Amino acid sequence: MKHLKRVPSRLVFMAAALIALTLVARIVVKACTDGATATELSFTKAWRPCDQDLVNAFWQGWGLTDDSWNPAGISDACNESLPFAKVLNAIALIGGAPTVVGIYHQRGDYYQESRANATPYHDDVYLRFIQNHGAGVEAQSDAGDHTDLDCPIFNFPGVPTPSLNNPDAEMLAERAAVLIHEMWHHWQNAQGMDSSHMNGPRGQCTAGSGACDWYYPHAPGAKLPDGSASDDLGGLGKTNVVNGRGLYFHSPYQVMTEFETDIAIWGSSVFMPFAVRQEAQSVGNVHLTTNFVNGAGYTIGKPDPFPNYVTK
Amino acid sequence: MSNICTRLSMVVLLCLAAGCGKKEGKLPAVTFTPLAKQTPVPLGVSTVDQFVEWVATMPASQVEDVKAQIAAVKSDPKVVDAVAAGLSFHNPGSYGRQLIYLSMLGEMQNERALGPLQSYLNSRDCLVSEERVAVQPAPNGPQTSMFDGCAGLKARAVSMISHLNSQAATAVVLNAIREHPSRTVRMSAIDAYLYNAGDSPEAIATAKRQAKPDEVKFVGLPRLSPDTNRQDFEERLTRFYSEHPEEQPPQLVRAPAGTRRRSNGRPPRTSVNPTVRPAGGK
Repeated sequence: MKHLKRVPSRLVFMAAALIALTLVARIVVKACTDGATATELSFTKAWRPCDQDLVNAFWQGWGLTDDSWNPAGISDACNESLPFAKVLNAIALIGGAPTVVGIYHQRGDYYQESRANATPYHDDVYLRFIQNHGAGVEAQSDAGDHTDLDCPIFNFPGVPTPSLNNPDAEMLAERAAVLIHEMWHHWQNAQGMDSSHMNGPRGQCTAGSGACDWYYPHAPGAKLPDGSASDDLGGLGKTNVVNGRGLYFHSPYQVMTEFETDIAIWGSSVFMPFAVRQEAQSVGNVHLTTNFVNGAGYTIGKPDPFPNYVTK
Repeated sequence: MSNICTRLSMVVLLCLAAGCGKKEGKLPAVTFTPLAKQTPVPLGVSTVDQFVEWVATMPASQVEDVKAQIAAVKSDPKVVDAVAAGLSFHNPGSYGRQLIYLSMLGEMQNERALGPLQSYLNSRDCLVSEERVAVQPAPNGPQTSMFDGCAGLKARAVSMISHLNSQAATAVVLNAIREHPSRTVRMSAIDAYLYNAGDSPEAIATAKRQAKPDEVKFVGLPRLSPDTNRQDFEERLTRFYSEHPEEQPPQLVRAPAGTRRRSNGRPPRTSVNPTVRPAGGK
């Protein structure tokens, strides 16, 4: 009899705990404003976000394996309104980067570099979902073993952030570029380089503290001393350092702008929405003009209202 | 003994060369499906949102359809006003949607759009990073990504003002080159002004006169677009840095000895397995 009385109370307790956990999960996800742009949803139609095998491959390869993802949509992995699926969409965009000759770098390089683990670019790391590191911060890397992805790259609908009047950066091209940027910090670390950004404003860098880099100029398809080119597979991971100077080298903001350039100028006209490429052009130009201490010596695309991105 | 040592050294050398201990993961193949070409949406006062939705989702091959629809109504002040009503920092919809509203107004080349575009360009509702006094660093976290979205949208606004190509619009653009608080906007104003003036020597001279003294060197940077001559681009890029050696990056900085932090193999998984549908969902 006593036992019978305890069973319902346990059930009630378990149900209450389940409800509480669900509420907590919802509260945490709600801390990022959920939802997806029409452009994001349009790109989603071009690949297989609900393919469990592909989801698993992204989940493991890009190290979305921390429990911080549990309340951020990992159990609803093809719901593009939630952060987890938005990361998968960004990985898919990297997986759809161009492969033609004459670009900055090949899809295979960006794809391999952006992986969290099992990549020749850096040690194994993992990605964490985090709500807020401070105003305007999109992501942040610990040079040791992880990278945090913050709400500004997930928030919808890009409303101005109350504290700084700065719109969020939920754009697909920016989110994908942030993955590439952050993993480059781990590459720097693997190379024994200083992986910190410089504080701004400084020189031509107008960004705030901890958001300035050097720009190491090279053209798309630039020839390297070993006879290869930057747009050869493996070209991203090469360096040409002479007397301590990086004649061919990359900083995190640089590698992200080169990716954004490649998407804007040579992205697919078949499966990428026009708007993804327009956003890539816009955000790439912002980074070129705000995040480099020395001036970046080019602009991405023509300033037409509706650029003709269709490549022959 | 020496034979064993030699063999061991060879194994180590081979390992180093081949990258033993670092197995590359197989890259997942993503199969893409072509985006369907959509039926063009006629632009009118009541269809602005629908039109923006179309532009936000269509493939790049439909750009000419978009231009044709805008050309049909570009002289209609009501449509210009309806599109301009979408410009907002308080209710932007998204960054991408704001870019589309701005592009539509630029494409219309209707002087009526100048007022709203100018208000947007100079709005205090979205402060650029130079205007924000308190961008705080993340605590102990110098490896951050940050993005100045206000500057991005305002840079697009000044480009579209330049595309209006009227005397009044040009005056606004030249003023932005001179004194807009955002470097991003100033650079965008220079680029758009030159582009809409055919990159003429006269326009270059005018832009140089308007530019801040330390920004004169950025007048006339090469544009990288699908039809750019790569060799010409590379030559101009190289020339920029040889003419302005102060803009070349300094020597690389290595991390101080002993500060490199290595991760200890693959971190343990603590997440649940991903599922493509929520438990109990349809």
